Amino acid sequence: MWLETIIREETGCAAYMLGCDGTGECAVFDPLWDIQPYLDMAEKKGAKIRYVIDSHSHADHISGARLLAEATGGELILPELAELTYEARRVTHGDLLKMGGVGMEVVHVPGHRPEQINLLVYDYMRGDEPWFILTADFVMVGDVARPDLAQGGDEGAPVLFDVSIPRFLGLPDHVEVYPGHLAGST
Amino acid sequence: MQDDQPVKPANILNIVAINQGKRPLTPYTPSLTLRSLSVPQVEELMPTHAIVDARESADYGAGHIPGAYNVQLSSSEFEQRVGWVVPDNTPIILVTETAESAHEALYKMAFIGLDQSVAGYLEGGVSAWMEAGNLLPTVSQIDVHSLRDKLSRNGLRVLDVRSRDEWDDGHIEDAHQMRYTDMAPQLDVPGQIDKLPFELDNPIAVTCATGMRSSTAISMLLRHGFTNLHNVQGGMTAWEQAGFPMLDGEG
Repeated sequence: MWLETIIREETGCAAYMLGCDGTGECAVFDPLWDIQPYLDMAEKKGAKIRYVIDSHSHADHISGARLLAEATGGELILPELAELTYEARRVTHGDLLKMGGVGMEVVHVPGHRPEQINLLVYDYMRGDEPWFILTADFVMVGDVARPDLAQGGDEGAPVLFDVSIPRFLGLPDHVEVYPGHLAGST
Repeated sequence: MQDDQPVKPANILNIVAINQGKRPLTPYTPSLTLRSLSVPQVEELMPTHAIVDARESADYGAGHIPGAYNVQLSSSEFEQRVGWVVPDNTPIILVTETAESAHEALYKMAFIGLDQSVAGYLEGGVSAWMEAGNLLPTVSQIDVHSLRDKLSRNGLRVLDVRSRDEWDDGHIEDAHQMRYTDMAPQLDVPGQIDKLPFELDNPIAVTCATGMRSSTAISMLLRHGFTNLHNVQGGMTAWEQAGFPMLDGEG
């Protein structure tokens, strides 16, 4: 499998693309409004975009997920608890999305937003243990995302500490962490 | 309020609404349509629109449309800064050097949904404004040497618009600190510009790290009625490089 980080420096946002070399499919996690970089990367990899996934209803940037799904025919996937007016496949804690030898396990991590999900990624060619986790707006570089930014802090902080952080700390130590933001706000 | 944290701009509600599908999503295109506006059109729209002058601070200082906000397109945070400075849900007119820059501004604003607030750009920029016989107010730009001279002589006050973290790393003695983002209303927080301990006619030198955010702050202060403002060119970076004294910590 392959993994690519696509960063927009101005807002410090990181989107991720990962794919299975065997099936030629890939997934895009948290794309921004300008979807061209993801189309270019898919073309470079010779991959078809199968899944387009938003970790949550972002408050700091416009999501390109719907635009990318429409442009590519990829399946639009959002968390079960996201409040949406459009159609999308909803996923919840423990769900598994597969592309050939790649597995993406949905981890529900409320706090920054009640609906937020992370993806715990497995490369079954390497083994049965997870390889890395895409932490979106949850675990950042040296910190966790603010529970008071996109909602009231009284609502976000308890679940962040009681549910999400224990879930993260329960992962094996070797799991690599790829956050949704570089140093900066969120 | 956590002064070490970026403020929550009111437009985050709009961003969430777009992402939830409750407000329209701008389809992606490499070049969004941008309306060009003539000087008379801008004059007519001015009472209800915010003008965002996206040029460099020195250009803004050399002559700008009255009431314009100066948010430099060259800033890595351009679109966020527009979101912090311009009141939420206000239609925006862009002023740039070229039509190309106006398009670049619009493209950046689309990343946070602010493209939908842009009514157009002033065709011909400030030159067209001047040729039409309109007033172009200026802002004094002073270098750090001149600032230091004036501080010891004629009671110039210093307003530092950087964050508390930057302030703690080193600032000018007797300066007052307020982030430029705290001057404007943000989500659930009113603008704090009234709380500045200055009279409207006090001579005030405004500084930040480089002279960009300070120029943004000046554009807000002018709108509020301050009349004697000076932008510190090069900001605290130049001050420090000149070897001038700085206090650190809470002092």
